[in-house]
Amino acid sequence: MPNIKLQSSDGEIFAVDIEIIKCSVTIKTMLEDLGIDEAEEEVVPLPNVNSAILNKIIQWATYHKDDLPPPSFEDEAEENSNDDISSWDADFLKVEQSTLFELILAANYLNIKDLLNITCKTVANMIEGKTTTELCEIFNINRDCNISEEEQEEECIKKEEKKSVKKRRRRRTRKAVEERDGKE
Amino acid sequence: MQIDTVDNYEQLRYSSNPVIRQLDDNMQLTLINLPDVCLEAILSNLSYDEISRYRIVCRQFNRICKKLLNRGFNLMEKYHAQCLRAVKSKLPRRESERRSHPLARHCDILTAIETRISMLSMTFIKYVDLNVCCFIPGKVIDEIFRVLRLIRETKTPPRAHEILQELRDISSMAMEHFDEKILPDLKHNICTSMIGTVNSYDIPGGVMISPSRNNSALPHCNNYSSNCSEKLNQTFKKINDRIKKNKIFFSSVKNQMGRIKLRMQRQDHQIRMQNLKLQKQVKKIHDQDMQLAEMRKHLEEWEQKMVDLTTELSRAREETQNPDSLENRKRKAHIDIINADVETLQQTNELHAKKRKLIVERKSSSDAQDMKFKKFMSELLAKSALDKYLVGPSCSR
Repeated sequence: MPNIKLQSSDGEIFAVDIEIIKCSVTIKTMLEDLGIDEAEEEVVPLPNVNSAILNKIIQWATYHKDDLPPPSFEDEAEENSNDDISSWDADFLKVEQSTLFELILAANYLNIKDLLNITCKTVANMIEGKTTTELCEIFNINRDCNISEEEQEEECIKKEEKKSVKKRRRRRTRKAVEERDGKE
Repeated sequence: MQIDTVDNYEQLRYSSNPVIRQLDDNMQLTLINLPDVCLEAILSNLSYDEISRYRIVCRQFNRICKKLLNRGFNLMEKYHAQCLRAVKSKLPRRESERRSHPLARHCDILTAIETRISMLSMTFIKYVDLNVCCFIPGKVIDEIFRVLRLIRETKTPPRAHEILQELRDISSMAMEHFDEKILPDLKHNICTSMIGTVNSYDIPGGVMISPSRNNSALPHCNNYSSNCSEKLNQTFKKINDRIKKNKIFFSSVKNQMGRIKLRMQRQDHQIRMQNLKLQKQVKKIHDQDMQLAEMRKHLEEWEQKMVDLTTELSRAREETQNPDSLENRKRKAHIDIINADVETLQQTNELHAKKRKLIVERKSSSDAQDMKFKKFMSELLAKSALDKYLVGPSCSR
């Protein structure tokens, strides 16, 4: 299999199998548009990816080289209900937050859909079920200056909605019980 | 990786991207430093309920969550339309057959959802389009998606009211809350946001220049790291100018509108007055019609009388043409009158006699003077009566 040389932003050069790196749509289209010349020793610079991240991406791509191409969904609505993250991927993504974010950036830049999916899903899992204050602590978000009154009000609305939902339900169950009692 | 290269690579890596360049200070990439595309990708893995709840985290989250919620609503509408089309294409055309078809319940549920969606979009979409808010209730989107997926997968879904109870509850609550609590606050925002969001106003008298047209130039600025800020400043200045111009234009249009409204009010008043007058005139005309009819009646009566009179006149004229009869009649009338005179004379004579008798009977005294007066009176009376008798017929004659 022919190799391609990728140069990370810090100047390190990686020789990768073309078939492996074709999971990146950016590189794939570039190769398709420019044509592959095996004799040529040209290096492809990737100014947005550093060597550590590029290394990880190549590692991931090598593991997933035999994967079937993802089934194309007819509509975007069902895309969210995608499968879960495999255990290897989960282990692979047990890294620092900043590395994870850089992986997201790189996956976005190189247009590797599956990698972007699983990384985003990992972050989403970190977010899921947390309160806003917890979120701010986890992701180091400076919140004080960012909240406007409107947004606070909106949160109040949500709370009220929940309360009224509960109230309605209670009323309904009470009604049902009364009806049942009346029948008996 | 060698440590000394890290600095170089960081410089190289971030030099081309001004957004990330800010990170150079702390070297740590955090969640909110990710570009919007990546944050969108991350947050789109969450449920819409959670997305709506995380709007409060920070401005960036709010912006992205708003976008995702609006997109979610549109996606949901599209997905629903697709489901409905799929079910309808399988249903038979005849109504009676349709009711007993296994997909009938699917269709019922989908149409019920359709009304819900249209109610929601009536409530929210106007304001979403004005960019004053987003589709706030994320939970409703989740619930609709849940129901849609459920009825797509199962062959025998539960009854419509069972499966839609939750959706009905939360959507109506969301709409009520929006109308009662959020809308009053939004209303005063609408005017200001209009200027910022709408691209061009098709108003007679000129098209407004919009600042958003210049936004496409902004990302390009990022590529030129040296003169980027300068260019940005320039564009901002331009945008500000245009905003000012637009504001002025807006106010002038508002003035015009006010004037036109005033004029319309005045014309309305005039029209009302004219209508009033018209009614009066109609009434007057009616009265006059009545009077005219009366006059005509009178006139006809007079004409009738006239005709009668003319006929009488002509008859009279005919009679005057043979005067003999008239003379005879005259003579006859004369004789009649004489007879009547004679009769009256006799009557008066009788009356006088009676009177005399009465006086004589009354004054039956033996006085010589009286006797003398009596005699004188009776003589006088008899004389006068004889005189009257002799003179009367000759006078009448």
